[in-house]
Formats: sequence, structure tokens, C-alpha cells
Amino acid sequence: MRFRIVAAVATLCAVLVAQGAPELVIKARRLHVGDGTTIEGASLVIAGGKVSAVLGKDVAPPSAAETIEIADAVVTPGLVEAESRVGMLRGDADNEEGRETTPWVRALDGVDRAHPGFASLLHSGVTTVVVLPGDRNVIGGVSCALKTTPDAATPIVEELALHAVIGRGPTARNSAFRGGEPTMFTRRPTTRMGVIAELRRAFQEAAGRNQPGWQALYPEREGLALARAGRGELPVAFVAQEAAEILAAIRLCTEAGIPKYRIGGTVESLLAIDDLKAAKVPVLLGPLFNVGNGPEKGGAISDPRRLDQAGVVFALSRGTDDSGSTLLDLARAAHRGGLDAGRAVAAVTGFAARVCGLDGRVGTLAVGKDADFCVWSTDPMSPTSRLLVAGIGGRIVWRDSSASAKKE
Amino acid sequence: MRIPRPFVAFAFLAAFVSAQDLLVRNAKLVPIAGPDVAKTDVLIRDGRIAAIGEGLKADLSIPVIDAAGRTVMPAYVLAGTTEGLDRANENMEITPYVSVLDAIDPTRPFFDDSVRDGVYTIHVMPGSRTVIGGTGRVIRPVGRVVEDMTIVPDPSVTFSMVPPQGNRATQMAKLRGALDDAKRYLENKEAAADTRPSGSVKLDLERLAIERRRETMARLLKKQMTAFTYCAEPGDVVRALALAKEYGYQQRLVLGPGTWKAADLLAAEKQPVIVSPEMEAEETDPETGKPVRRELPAILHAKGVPFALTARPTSLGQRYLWYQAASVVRMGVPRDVALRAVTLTAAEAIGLGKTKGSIEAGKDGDLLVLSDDPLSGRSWVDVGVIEGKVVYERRTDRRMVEVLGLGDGKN
Amino acid sequence: MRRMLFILLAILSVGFVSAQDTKPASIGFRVKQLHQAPGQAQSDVVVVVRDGVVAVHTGPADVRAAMGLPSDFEIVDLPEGVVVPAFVLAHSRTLAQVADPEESLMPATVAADAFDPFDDRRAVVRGGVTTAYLSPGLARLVAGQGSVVRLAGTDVGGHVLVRHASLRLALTESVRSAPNVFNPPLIPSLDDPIPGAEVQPGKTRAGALDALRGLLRRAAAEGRDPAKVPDIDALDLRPVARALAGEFPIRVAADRSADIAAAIELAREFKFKLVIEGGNEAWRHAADLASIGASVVLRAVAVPPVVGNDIAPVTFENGEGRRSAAATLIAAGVPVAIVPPFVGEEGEVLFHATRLLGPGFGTAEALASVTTSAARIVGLPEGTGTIAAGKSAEFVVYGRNPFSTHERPLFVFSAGRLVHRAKDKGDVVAITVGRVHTCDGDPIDGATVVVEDGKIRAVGKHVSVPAGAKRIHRPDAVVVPGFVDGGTQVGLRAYASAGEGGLVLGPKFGAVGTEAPLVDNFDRDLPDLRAAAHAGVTSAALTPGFGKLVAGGQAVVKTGGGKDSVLAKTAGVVIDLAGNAGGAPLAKQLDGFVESAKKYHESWSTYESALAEWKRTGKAAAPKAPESRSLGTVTAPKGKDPITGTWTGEIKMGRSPRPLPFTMTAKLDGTKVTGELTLTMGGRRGGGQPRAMPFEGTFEGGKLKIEAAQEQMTVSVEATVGRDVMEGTVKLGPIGDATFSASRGESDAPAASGGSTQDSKPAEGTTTKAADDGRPKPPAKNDNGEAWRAIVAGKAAVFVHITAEAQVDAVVESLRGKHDLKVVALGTTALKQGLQRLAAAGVAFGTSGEMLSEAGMPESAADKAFRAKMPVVFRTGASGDVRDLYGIAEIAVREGVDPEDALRMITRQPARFLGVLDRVGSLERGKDADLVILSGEPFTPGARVLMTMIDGKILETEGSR
Repeated sequence: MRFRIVAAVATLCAVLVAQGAPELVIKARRLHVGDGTTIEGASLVIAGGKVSAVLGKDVAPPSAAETIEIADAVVTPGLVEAESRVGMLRGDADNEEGRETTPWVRALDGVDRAHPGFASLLHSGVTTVVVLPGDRNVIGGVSCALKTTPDAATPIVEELALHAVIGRGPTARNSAFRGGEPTMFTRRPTTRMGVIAELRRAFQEAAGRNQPGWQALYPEREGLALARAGRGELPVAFVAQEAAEILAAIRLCTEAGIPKYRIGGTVESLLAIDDLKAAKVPVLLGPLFNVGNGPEKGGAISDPRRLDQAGVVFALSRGTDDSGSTLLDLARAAHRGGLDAGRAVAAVTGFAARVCGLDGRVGTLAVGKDADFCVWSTDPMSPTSRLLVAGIGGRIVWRDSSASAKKE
Repeated sequence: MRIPRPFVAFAFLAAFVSAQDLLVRNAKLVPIAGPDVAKTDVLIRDGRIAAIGEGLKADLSIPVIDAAGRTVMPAYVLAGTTEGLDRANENMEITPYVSVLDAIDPTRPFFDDSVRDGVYTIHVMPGSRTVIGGTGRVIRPVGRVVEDMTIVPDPSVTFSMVPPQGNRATQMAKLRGALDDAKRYLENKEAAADTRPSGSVKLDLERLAIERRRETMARLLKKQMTAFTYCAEPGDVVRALALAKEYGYQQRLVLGPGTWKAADLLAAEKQPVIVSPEMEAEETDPETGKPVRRELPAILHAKGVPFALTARPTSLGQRYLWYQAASVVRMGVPRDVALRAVTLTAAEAIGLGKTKGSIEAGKDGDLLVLSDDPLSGRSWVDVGVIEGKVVYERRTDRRMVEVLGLGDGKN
Repeated sequence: MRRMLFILLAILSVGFVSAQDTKPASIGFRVKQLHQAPGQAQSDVVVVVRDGVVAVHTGPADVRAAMGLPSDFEIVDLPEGVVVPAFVLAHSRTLAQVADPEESLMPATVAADAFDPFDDRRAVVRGGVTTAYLSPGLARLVAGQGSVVRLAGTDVGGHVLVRHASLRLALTESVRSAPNVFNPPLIPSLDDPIPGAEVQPGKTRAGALDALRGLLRRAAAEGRDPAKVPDIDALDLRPVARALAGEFPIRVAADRSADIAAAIELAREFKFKLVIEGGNEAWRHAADLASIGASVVLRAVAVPPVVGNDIAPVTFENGEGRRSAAATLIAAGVPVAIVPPFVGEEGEVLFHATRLLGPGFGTAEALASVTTSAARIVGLPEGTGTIAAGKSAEFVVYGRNPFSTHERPLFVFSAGRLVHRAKDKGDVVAITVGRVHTCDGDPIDGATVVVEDGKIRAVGKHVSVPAGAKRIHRPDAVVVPGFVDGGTQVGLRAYASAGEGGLVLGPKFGAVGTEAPLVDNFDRDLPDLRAAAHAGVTSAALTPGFGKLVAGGQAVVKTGGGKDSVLAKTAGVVIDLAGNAGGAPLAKQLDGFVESAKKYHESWSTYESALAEWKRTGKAAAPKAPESRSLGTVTAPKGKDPITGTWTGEIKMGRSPRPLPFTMTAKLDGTKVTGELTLTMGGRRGGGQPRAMPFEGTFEGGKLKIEAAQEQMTVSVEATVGRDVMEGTVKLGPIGDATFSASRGESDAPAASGGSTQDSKPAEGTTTKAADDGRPKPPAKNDNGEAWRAIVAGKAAVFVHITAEAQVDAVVESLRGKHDLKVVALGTTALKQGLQRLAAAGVAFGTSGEMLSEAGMPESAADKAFRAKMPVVFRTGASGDVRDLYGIAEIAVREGVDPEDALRMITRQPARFLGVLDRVGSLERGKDADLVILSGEPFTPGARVLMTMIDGKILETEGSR
């Protein structure tokens, strides 16, 4: 367990960066910075759509065009959903069927940015979401990151990571073509070995294409995308549930010298904890369940705490779980499983942004970052906490109707 | 030969195990029946709560739990679920003669989890995808066989106002048909004395089966059972209330979130209702075209309708009754109402308000020693007690200790 | 705080639920007509609803006093209003959830059980329908029993009016597709084995009839005892028996003649009361139906009548419907209820009945078919569908004739409660007056102008007015377009105090030149704007005083205030020729102005089309890859060479969503082209890998062909080259064929040519040039150029103050002859000496009503110009008072100009020469709602402005309210 001296940080954070007149000041009983630390009695100062200062208890905030002050309120960064299929067609319809590896396909081109799912995410506190391409292909394509702005989500990174699946997705229901009408299921691969073989072939291309005189295995459009992954320009995001799949991802990237990658959707990360630590690879934990030994597939709620203690860079993501839990429910579960409240919030904000490579812009309420924030009625780690206000880029984009009524 | 009534069989079943004595000391008490008490003792004798107060004296032979710094509350009551069954719905429409007795599997992980989570009174009932689903049963989650687990054998029969194919009028016609049939059966039965000679050797299986399938409905009409009627829309509530009035049977409503519009009608009934695990309705405002979220428990509370909450194990939050209660607090319902909704009101909804759901002298000694406040989100059941007997201890729970590393109360 | 939340939630939720059960209403309506029942009407009455109960007041006495109503009792005045009984919908299949079940025979189903009283049915109630018959199902042989419910206005529980309204059978095609059912015995035995799926009856017409006959026979024989409860597995025949006993009719859905005949046969055989539902061909059996006392719920026919042959096929499967079917049936004595033909039209029942109006089916019959007859057929008590004093309110209030296609109910009452009140459409105003001068054609008598959202929605005699619109009814008044002053200084000059003399206009603006636009001095809050508006002037051109060759640019403003007061920032330029010698030098000078203006204008048009093109293709346009740019720094020499330079463009790859950016530096030497081609592959965000490859090629006859190769990549390009643009095909070695387009980044700017050295010369535009992201850069803006833009675009005019005869020819030759611009001549000198020449050249005349004095006789300059066929634009001028505009025109009328023409001189003509005719100057659909209501015909004695409307907003003046 890491110990943080919260008070010291609070004083350090009392830095006001001149960035024009502040447009919004939010006073909070507590502020989660999003990196695991919290500041009691903090004020968040927003100017130009960015965080311009985080002030401690002892510093009076400047006057602003609007001030939000709700008793007992706790402020967090806007949540970052690191794996989602929101806005994509349901079922298998957004899987490009032409090949097993379709690295040139961009999720952004398939996403319906006005899909009501974005509003649902926003209402649960999520301000940034990473949308993945389909997971029925070995390499499905390139994911993108969007802000859940009302009416239509706004892309912030169009090409975020190359999405590779080692899990069951690509093999599910596949079978060899033996007469009859060919469908998307009459194709390779049909086993995990097959999936990994296909990935290995792709990664050889990725490694080789950047060397002089390489004879391309893949057509240009696929090859070029893979080459970018080989150079580390486009990180590879794996989906790997089981320990064997996690190890396979590490092995593949070591072989091909893929410099930047991460592993998501993990259920058995705890079993591969030493390898993850050694490889310094960040992980996204998939759905969590309690102590239930029922039929559901998910990690245990104590996994986040254990990975954190082991020093593995991790974050929580809902993945493709659609059982009705929200991202915040996952953080609460991790907290229940023993993870400190500040770090549990960070697991769905700052850590999630870091794992996805979005930490330059979102995930924490640090000076200069996008002013994406949530105001909760009490600490969000309490299940009785209600989202009162959500803001993106300094603009209030959602207000709980009862909260706004209260304001008047 | 008189046809044996199957439920008579349970009469010989003694109450659960041998009821025991227990003293819980120095607890912060959430009795539900009244305001919280900062520090007190609870004494259980013969499985019943004998006394509550500070510094209670008891024999040295009585086991003592020191609950200093911990919270004691009544065990949770789940007023309706289809968990623990092999399958929830029969694929025929009218099956009052089936019983969950024959479907409960005591080895299901659901019961292990219930012990761990402190849910000690569970009303298991058939699913709502039929017209008449069958009879339910109130059980506790411990026991080798269903008979051991049983608290109340046949308290309920499941009705559904929601047709699988969408014609609600046909659904009503079928319910009416079954009730008319039962009414006639009851009248005929009462009119005709039993004239059959004893010692008949021929066992008329078919007749027996037909009689038996009518028996449940007859008992319902005789107010020996209660219909648990599932309603998804406000109109279903209107119909369900009208039908119960017309045929004169007892009824509890199990409500989907869309029924919020009928809250006024429910308020007039002054009966507790059961809210299904999905509590919020996403609707489109017909005037503005914007989505609106309707929170059924908040509306029921505003109208003064007592309600019980339920849970289902499929999702992270909705699987816990305490989480459901916390969610209701998030919707603006007072904390005491929310906690009652998973204890006392739930017990009342299944007719056990006199024995379960609160810590009061004379009630069953079903209680939980919690590591923290029930709604904190980090609260664990340290000790679980059913009728004075300790049925769960966190420090000896292999799964909590070894798998999660949460057995010691330090995390 | 939690408590607070909870209270708020409570309020929110209560608000919605209580929307349905309002209290009994108390309100009255003074209307033109009350239809107590179909064919029975009373005129000029006050219909009062008091605590939900109807009372009718006639006679001149004050209704409040006569009926003892409180003085604040709301009485709605509807001079054209009509009250009719509320409508009964005699068949509906969407108001209850009646998806067809599996079973073909379900007589026990009751439609009322599928009705959810909480559902939102405002869309139906809004049409005046308060009661509806619910069908128990559609596509099954015996779907069950229909019910009648109230759609709004009662508490839950009171909504079912007739629970058992009919037993519904169907003989339509749709019953033939009932599914097979699987119904095994509870305990199968040898005697009672598990059967296969059971085929349900009714797969053919004969089968259906056989099954129905069997059912009716069985019910007649054994189902008579209503107390006899059937076994749970047996069919419940009680409802059939009740129908046969005459408790309620049997409704048979049938459209084809044969089906209807079969239904009549069944009714005769079993002696039940028959209602035909649908009934497309029921008219063929009118006499038979009448003879057994049957009724018809007729689905209205939606097709237009066919001349000479009234038979119109409705749908091929459903037989032949007729528009005259209702009339035929009624004539034979068969009661008819009309129902709409389409799902979703449930509220439009009266409209669909009125569509059938014709011989034998007048408005009384139409009203009966949706009120009294419909009520009787669905089994409602006698008297339903009529209005009588002492009964609870069940009626519909229309603002006008309810049988008109446009009208919709304003108020609907059900069970004494007001269940619909047309929303006050504050933004929709309908002005009905004695005459409307649109200035777009002939005046229209008795017309209505409908205004919505500040625009004119419709003008005419028969226009649709939305329910709830604010109505202004002035049969004696006249509507004209808002006046447009062709040049004044309203909003620039405040009133100044003149001591004893009251207020006078402040100092005027002189010649300001185009570089200091007058509009920058415009103050929308100055009080003279309001004075102008009250005088009917809704738009005005801001004009400079004279005193400089280029006196200044004009702008058009609205006098209504508000932030969108400036209608056009450039609306012509005023040129003052005072002191100019005229002749050829003047012509040349004017040419210079116009030519530089045209250049400026062109640079903008080019930019705008480039921008449009960029926007069209540019969504996917690649931002410039910096690396590739650096490879192409060869600057193109200035000259007429069509190839040399740096080209940037995009290759569109088949289905790939992203075009491939490329740059090319090329040099033309004779027909030989050399250079370097740079392709950026693999993405556009920093990841692109530029590949530069040298090429050689040819350029002949406008066609460019080049080949380039490097490593495994070969590129060959064929392109057609235009002026700084090229497009064609490209073969990319391993990838395939694609199309591309490119534009030249650096080339000659259009050479500066000619032009005058005057300070007023518009600066030439700079050339369109790609910005970093490929977006074209706009040319530099300058006020001189801006002032001229509308003029060279052919919209606004040059206003030329002519002070000497010598100037006339120069103006005519240059501005009209050479450049074909719109020209308005100012000053009477122009008329004295150049009238014929100006008129012949199509120059207009702008005047503030000056008089000419020839041979001692005063003469109106406007009249003189008009008679010479010069268009006339009235303007009060820089020193005049904008309020005089109407008076100036009035004098022109006195001098002989037709009133209609004079009106156009202060409306349409100024708007035309200011280039704002698309927005103001006449009353046409889509234009700004700027209009004036006059108390009488324009320019008649005593006619005055009653009301001015600007952008749909009414300025209260005399007599408006």
C-alpha cells in the first residue's frame, strides 16, 4: 500500500496559473485529483476550458462568472471509460468481414456520435470514452477516444490504438467452410492457437516492414498500419481474458519488439501478476464480481488492490459488460475489495487515462488539463452518492434536475 | 381415500435446527423498529430475541459476541426472487400446480452468497413469463434439503399481468378463466360431501393431478395463500387490483419501473409493494422528446406507499440488497425507509412482519454483525446469526480469507 | 438536503400524473353557432360550462348577469366559433394493446382489459375524440369482445363506459393465417395421447363460416346459462350466448361483398344484431342490411372521386369502396359510423367524415356519423353525441367552421372536464382584413396573412390557420407591406430639443465616403426608429449626405430595434457628381470604380466557390504533412505557365474513407515536365511516411502525363489541367487505380490592372490560397470593396446625384451601358435634361417628392418620371424626416400616380434597388413579416396606420389591441 501525505500535496497544489479570468469555480468538501490523491476543502478553478488552479482550504478562490458551491459536494475528474462499444452497431454488424486482420479499419468511422449511449455514459459521470472496433477479428482496427459532449460526442484522438483480440471473440462460432453458404463464421481461426498464429504473422509484418528490404506479407493498407504499431506510433491494445492469453500477448510483443502495448478485458490478471510486473505492461481490468462463485465471468473485487500493491499499472474498465453496472460501480467494488478510495477513483479516471495514453489531456484535475469534472453529492465511493453536475471542457453539460432546482 | 394434500406433509417439519441462545454485546444497533442505538446488548434465547439493553446479564453458558465498534442489524429479507431454481418459468401458461419445492437446488452458489451477504429470509417464487406460474416458498439459505430450509411452505402463487406475446386482454381472459374454474371447483366441492368409500384401491392419477392443480387456486380463493402479481405497466396495476377485488383474494404487487404512474392507486391500497431489481424507467417525455428518468422507489415513497426492494445477481450493484437500499437513498429516499425496504417492509410483504425484519423482543433472532454502517459500501458481514445460531463468520470464510484476502477486516 | 431532493422528486412526479385528472371545468364560449345535435343548430349563443355542466345562453343580456356568474368568469369570445358534440370513434385497434394471440377462438377476451388508462392519448383527444370503441384484436376468427372507453377526463376506473360492446368475428383475409397451436393434455395417457400441433379453423372462407356456425349453434344450445362456468380447458361460450340473447351486437369485420353477404346470412339464421366493420362493399347490400336492422362502421375512403364512375378500388384485396357508400347506406336506412382509414389518424375522425361530403351525405350526416350514429352503434346510451343544457360537458369548440379542411379544435371537453386546450401559439398570428395589398400581384379581398416565427407563412383567401394562433380580425382594414425608405438617416440622428419648438431632428451626416460606413454609427435604440415604425416605415436605407464624389455606402436597417436590426450591410453606393464636368473623363472614372469593384467581388466569389468545394470534399481533406511540404519548396515563377509550381492534392482510394495526400513540384519546359512527387502514406496524424520520387512527363494540349518510380512503388498520372487546378487518374504501383485532384498553391496573382487612383478604389482581392489545412484563405476585406459588392453582384444600385446634363451620358454609358449595373438617379436636374435618355437606359429615379416648376406650373417629379416609365424609389433623403414617406407617396397620388403604383414606390421598388427584395418590400410566403394595417385603402382620406408589424412583432398603435 502506498501512503500519500495528502496535506502536503494540497499545499503544493495551491498554485494559480494566470490563464485569463476564471469562468467557473467549484468549491468542494473534497477533491479527487485523479492520481490517487485527494484534497480536503479544495476549490477547482477553471479558465479557458482548462483547469487553471486547484486551491487548498487556506486559499480563497478568485471570483468567477459562475461558482458552484454545494454542501458536502465532492469533485472528481470526469470518468474515463477505457473500453466501450458505445455508438457502434450491435452484434457482429461492425466487424469487417473481409479478413481476420483489419488494422486499417477505424472505429471512429463506424461510431454513431449521436447515439443515446453517450448520454447515458455522461449521466453516469463518464466524460471520455474509448470506442473499440469490433472484436470478432484478430486485429479489429483502430480505436478512438471521444468526449461525451451532449448531442454528439466529440472525437479527441481519432486513432488511439490498434485493437487486437486474443480471447474468444475471433474464434467464437467459427468453423471451416464445408459447402453451403459462406458466412462470416466460415473462416479461420477456430482455436486460440490459430488466433495467436494470425497475430504472430501480423506482428512479423509490423516488425519487418520498418527494416530495409523487407518483403511485405500484407497488402499496403494493412502493412502500413502494422508498421506504425511496430514503430510504437500506434500502441497495440490487446483483449486477453485468461492468464494464458495475457502471457501470449506479452510473448508476442517481446518477439516482435512491439514497443508500446497494453492489455485489456483481463479477468485472470492476478494469475499473471509477476509477468505483468516484469513486462511493465499496463492492464485494464475487465468486469469485477464479488466473492460470488456463480457462473459469471469476472475478476474478484480484490484484484485491483492486489495489482496496485504489486506495482502494476492498472485501471478499471467495463469492457463489453452490459449487465447494468456503471463504471463507478466497478470503482466502488474495487474500493470494497480494499483499494483506497482515492486510488479507486483514480482507477476510473487518471489511471484509465494513463493506460490509454490520454493522460496528457484528461483523467486528472491537474493544472493545464481539460476541465472535465463531476460533482457528486457525497464521496462517489459511497453507493449513496448522486451525480449532481458534470462538465466537459469547463462547460457544464449535465445537471441533476433536483440539483439545479435546489440552486434556485 | 382422501387425497393427501401435499403441503400437509410439512407440518411435521420442526422449525430450523435447534434454536439457540446468544448474547451480542456492545453493538451499535440498527434495530429498524426504532431509532439507532449507539451502544447496547442483544440477548437471544431459544432462537428469539429476549432482551435489548445495555449491560444485560446472562448465564456463563451462553456464547457471547463482542460487537464493539461494529454495527448490528436484522438480517436482510428478500421478498421475491427466482434465484436458486433450475429454471424460473414453465413453458405452459397456467401452472398453479407446480411448486418451487421441486425446483430449489440447495447447492446453488446463490445460497452460499446469501449466507455471506446476510440475506436470511428468501421468498423464492416462479418466474413471471406465464399467466399463473406456480407456488413459491419462503426459505432460509441454510439446510441440506429444501425441507430444512423452509420457513413458510406455500405462501404464494405467481400471477403475471404481462403476456409473453402482448395481448393483455387475452391474458386477463385466461386469468379469469382459471379463477372462474377454481371458484366453481370450490363451490362443487363444498356442495358435494365426500361419498367415496374408504379403501378404494384404484388410484385415479389423472383425477388426482387435476384436483391438485385446482387446489392451489382454491386455497388462494380461501385466502390461505397470496397472489404475487407482476405488473410492468400502470395499466397492469389497474387490472391486477380490479381482479383481486372481483374474486376476493389476497395480493401483493411486484412492480416493474414503468408502473410509477399508478402510484396514486397504490397509495390508496395501503399495502406494501415489491419493487423489482430494475428500479428506474428511462422514458421519453412526449412534450419535449427528451429522455426522462423515473425512479420508482422515490415516487412510491413520495406517495406514501411502503415498498420492499429486491436484488438479482446478474450485475455488480443490483446483486446486493444493501446496494439497492443505498441506491434508493441516492434517489432521495430517507435512509430509514431504504433500510426498512430490505428488512421489515420486505418481511411484511411476505407476511412475516411479526417474526422477521427487525430487532425487537419476541422476534426471531436473525441478525448480522457488520464491520461498518450497512450503506457504507465497505461494510462486510462479520457474523451472521439465524435464530440465535451463528451460521457465518467472515474470519472462517475460506473464500473471503484466501481468495479475496478480506477475512481479517483490515482491508 | 436529502429531504429537499425527496420533496422535489415528489413534485416532479405528481405533476405528470395529475395532468390527466383535472377538476370539472368552468368556462364559457361566445360563439356563432352551436350544434346541439347533427342537423340542429342555434346561432349566436354563449355556451357555458359550470362545474362541468353545460348551460346555454341566448339573447342580448349579459351572460354573467343573466346566469349569476362571477364577474371574473372566463368567457372566450369566438365571433366565428362553432361548438359541436364530442366525437365517438367507432373502431380503433391501436388504443389498446391487442396483439393477436395464438388462439383463433377467444370469445372471453375483453378489449377493455388491454386498455391502459395511463397511456398518453393526447394526440387523439386533441382531434375532439373523447370516446372510442376498442377492438379486441384483428386477425383472429373470434377475437373477443369490444369495449367502449373514455379516452380522458375521468379518474382511473371510470374510463370503461361499455365493457361488453360487441362480440367480434372476422371474415377478412387476415384470419386465414392463424398459427397452429400445441396444447398437450396435462397427463397424457393411451386414451389421451400427446397430439401434434392443432390446425385452427378458418383457413378458408368456407372453413371459417363452418367454424362460426358451429360456435353459434353450440352457444345457442348450451351456452344460454350465463352462470354456468365452463371447465378451464373448454371454450367459454357465455359471451357468444349473451350476444345471441341480444345483450350486445355481433360485429363482423368484412369488406368484400361475399363476406358481407355471409355475415347477413348468419345474422338471419341466428337472429343476432349485426354490425359490419370495414364494409368497403357494404353499399352493395344496403337493402339487405337495412332489412335486418344492421349497422355499418365504415372505413372512410381516401381516394378522390372518379368522374362518371364512383367505384374506386380501395385495395385490391378489400373489394371496392365508394365515396358515396355512406350516402347509399344512409339512404337505405342503415346507420353509418365513419372511422379513419389509417392507423395514426384516430383523432381525425371528423376530417375523414367530411372528405365524404356529397349528395346524400351533407354536414349533418357527416357529424352524425361521428357522433350520434357512432354512439348508437357502439352501444352508448341514447343522447350520447348531443349537447344539452344540464348534461356534463362533452363537446368540441372550433374557432371557425369545423367542416373546413384547415380547422382544428381549440377546446375539447369530456365528462365535464377540459381535456384539451389548443396551445396558445404566441408566435403564430393570423390577420384577416378586408383587403391585402401584397405588392406582388393584384390585391386580394377578404384575405388572411399568417405569420409564424417572424416570417410570412401564407397570404390568401383560403389559408390554413393553426389552432391556437393569435387572430386579428379587422374586416374594414387593409394590410400593406411595411414601407421601405430608399434613403434616410433614421437611427443615425437623435431628436434634439428645439426649445419652444419641441423636438427637431439632430444634425445630419454629410458625405462620409465608403471607408467609414454609416452603419457603424447606427444606434438601434434611438427613438426616431420607433417613430418611423409607428409611421409604417419598417425598413430604411441609411444614406449619406452629398458633398463628395463617393458620398458613401448605404445600408438597410429595420426600425423594429432588436439585435438583428441591420438587414443589409451594403445596399448601394451614393455618388455625388456635383461639380463634375462629366463627359468621357467621368465615364472613365466610373469605369475605374466598377472594374476594381468587380475584381474585389471576383476574388470573393472565387474564394467562396473554393471554400464550398473545400467543404464538399474537404471533410476528409488531409491536413498538410509538414515533412512533405518541405520537399516542395520550389517557388513557381510568375507567369502564364499552367504547370510550374507546387501542387497539393488528394488521391481518393476506392472505398477507403481517407484520401491520400500528395504534393508535386513541377517545372514546365516546352512540353516536357520534370519535378518531384511526394506521397504521404499510412495515416495523417504524425504517422505519415512521406515518399518523394522524381518524375518526368509531358504536357500537351492541356493533358499532363507523368511517370515516377521508387523502390516497389510506381506511379503514373494522367491529368487534365485547368487554371491552377488539375484532376485525373493515378496508377499507384501495388495499390491500384485511383482518382485525384490537385490545386496549385503558388501561382500568379491576378495582375492589378487599370483602376483609378481615387482613394475610393476598392483594393483588389488576393488570390485564393490554401491554408495549412487546405482551407482556402479569404481575401483581405476592405470597406470600399464591401460597399460595392452588392452592386456588382447585380443586387443593389448605384445612387447617382446628377447635377448637370453633361453627366447624364457618362452615367448612362458607363454604369448602364458598359457594366449593366442598377442605377438610381437622384436630383431633379437629371429629369429636366435627361429624362428620355435615362428612361431609355432603364435608370430609376429616386426622389423625396421634389416638385418641378416648368412654365410656372408645379409638377411632381415622381409623376413625371413614372410617366416616362422610370421606376420610382421614394426616399426621404439625408436631411428629411422618415415619417414623411407615406405623405410623399400620397402627394404623388394627388399628382396622378395610381395608388397601387405609389404604394410600390414606398415598398417593392426601394427594396428592389436596395437589393433586399428577397426579405422585404412585398407580402409573400417566406419573407419577413413586416406589414402595416391601415384603417382604409392606402392614400384615401383619413386612412391611418392602425398597427405595424416588424419581424412578426406587433407594435401597438392606434386601434390595435
